[in-house]
Amino acid sequence: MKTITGESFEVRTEEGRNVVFFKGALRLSGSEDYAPILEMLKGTLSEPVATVLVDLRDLDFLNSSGITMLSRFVIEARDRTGIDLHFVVSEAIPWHLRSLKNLQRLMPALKIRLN
Amino acid sequence: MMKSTIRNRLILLCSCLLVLMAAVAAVCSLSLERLKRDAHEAIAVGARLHSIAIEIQVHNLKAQRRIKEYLAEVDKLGPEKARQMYLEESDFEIHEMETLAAKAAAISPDAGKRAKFARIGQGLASYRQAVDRAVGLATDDIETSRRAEAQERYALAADQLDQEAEDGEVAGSEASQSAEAGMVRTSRVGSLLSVGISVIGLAAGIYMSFMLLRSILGPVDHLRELADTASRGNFQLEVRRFSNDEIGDLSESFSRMLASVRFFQSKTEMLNEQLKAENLRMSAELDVTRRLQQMMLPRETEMSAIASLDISGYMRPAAEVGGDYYDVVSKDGGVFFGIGDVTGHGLESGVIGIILQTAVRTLLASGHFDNMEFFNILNRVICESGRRMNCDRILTFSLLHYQDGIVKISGQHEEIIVVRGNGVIERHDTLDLGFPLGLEEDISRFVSETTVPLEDGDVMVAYTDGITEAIDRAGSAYGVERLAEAVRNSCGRPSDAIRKAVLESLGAHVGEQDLLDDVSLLVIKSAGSTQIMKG
Repeated sequence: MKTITGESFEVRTEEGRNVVFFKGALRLSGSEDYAPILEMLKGTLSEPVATVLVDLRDLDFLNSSGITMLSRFVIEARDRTGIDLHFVVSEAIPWHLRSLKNLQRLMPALKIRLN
Repeated sequence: MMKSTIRNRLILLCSCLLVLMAAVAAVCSLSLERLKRDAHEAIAVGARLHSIAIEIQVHNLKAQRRIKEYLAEVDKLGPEKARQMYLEESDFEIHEMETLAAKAAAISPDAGKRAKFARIGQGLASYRQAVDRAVGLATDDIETSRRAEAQERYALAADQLDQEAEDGEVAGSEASQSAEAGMVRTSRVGSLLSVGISVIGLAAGIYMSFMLLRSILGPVDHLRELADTASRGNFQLEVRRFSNDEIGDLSESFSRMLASVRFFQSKTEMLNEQLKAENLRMSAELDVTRRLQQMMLPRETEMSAIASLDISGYMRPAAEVGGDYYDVVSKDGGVFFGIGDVTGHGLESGVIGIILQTAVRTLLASGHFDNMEFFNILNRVICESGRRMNCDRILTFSLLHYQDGIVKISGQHEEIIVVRGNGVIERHDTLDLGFPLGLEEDISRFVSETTVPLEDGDVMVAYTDGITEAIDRAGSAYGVERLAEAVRNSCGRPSDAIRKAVLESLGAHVGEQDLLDDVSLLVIKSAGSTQIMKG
């Protein structure tokens, strides 16, 4: 299990399970600060796997740099064949649906699970 | 070889003292014991001499009595019988006295006493002669005067013997007494000796402790001085190693510690310098970015020159400076408003903001009003600039075109809020009107346009997420609802008053919190009623 933590957030991935959990509020100041998280996300794509799951249900806030980071990840996933990408989001958190629309535009095959 | 540690030195010191004192004490008590035994023996000898002298006197008395009885009874009993009754016993007494005198002479401790008892022996010989004569004359028929003379001689000899025996008695007593005095002297010497040994032992102990203490305190003082100096911030110190013991080890540890402190100090100083340089660079960069942003904002005079609209703009960069942008361009009787937000902070975001503004103005100046083409070109410029600058920045951007009471909105950014003259709030989402710029090469399929009428007294507000995402102490965001409400509460007033009211409402929400992002606000009011107020 790998974990990246900050003052108000935690990003965690489970070995062999291609699931990335986000928690808290992510307000890092730019793409440089988001690079480790993007690397962690991209790490789930390194194996020839079918399904990758990004769980955002506990992520209350993600600033625009963070959304850029998610967009880069989605583009990366889209450009590889055979990736079945799922985002698990919460209807109760407003930014989720708004941001996911752009992500779905980037990758029409992206599956959104409301929870 | 054993290390000369303080512990070992202490053990050695104590052992030496113990062995020394034990040896001296043993020698002293042995010799004292011997002296005492000798003295006791001497006392016993004196007492024996004394008692022998008394015994001699007793035997003398007994002998005298027998001889007297013989002399008195010899005429009556006849010499034979008288001799049997009295003289044999007196012979025995005299013989006893001789034996005792010889014995006393033999055990006498010195020549004087020996001579005394020898004299008793000699006295006994003449005593015996005197006895024989007196006894011999007693039975012979001779003149009475000669008999009396012999008896008197015998009495004298007996007296003399008695006298000598008394001398012997005195000598025995003296020997006893002097032996006793000797013993008292010996025990006094013994006490003095033990006191002396204790004093010497104590003195040796004090001296050795002093030497040991000096060997400890010297290095400890040295270390204490060094520690004091170090505590004042001077770590360039040389630690001397005095001895190969615990304090020597401590000096070495202290020396190593100082070396570590020096190492970390220099490292910290180096990092501090780097940090200072970095801070200086960053604050210089932020200053430049802030000035660029403010420099490019539309002037008050430009906006007030637009007769049909009452416009008020505001931008406040955050501490780190984000990439907010807004612009007002008047063209061919219409007015274009651009509002956008570049992700991230700092110089790169600021520069992308300026590139965006330049590109928008260029496109507008070249007459590109076709939305799809306009946004595609803009997107390409941003993509290419981002690649060239090697920075991962994207941006949201909406273009508002006002003409004759109609506003056409395109491009994806935050919501556009419209508060009608009657207080009704409309929120126009721009999500479906475009796509973030700088992410995808071709976004033309996502671009579209919506049309919103803006009549006299209506207020249109565009903003960046620095307003809606501004958080209070509890972490709760200001939000679109509060913003729209603040606009509605002041919608009857001129645009700059509305702007002020919104910023006051935002300030009240945020309180003492720092703004995390740039704050931009553009208030556009249809001029009809405002112009009357202005007039």
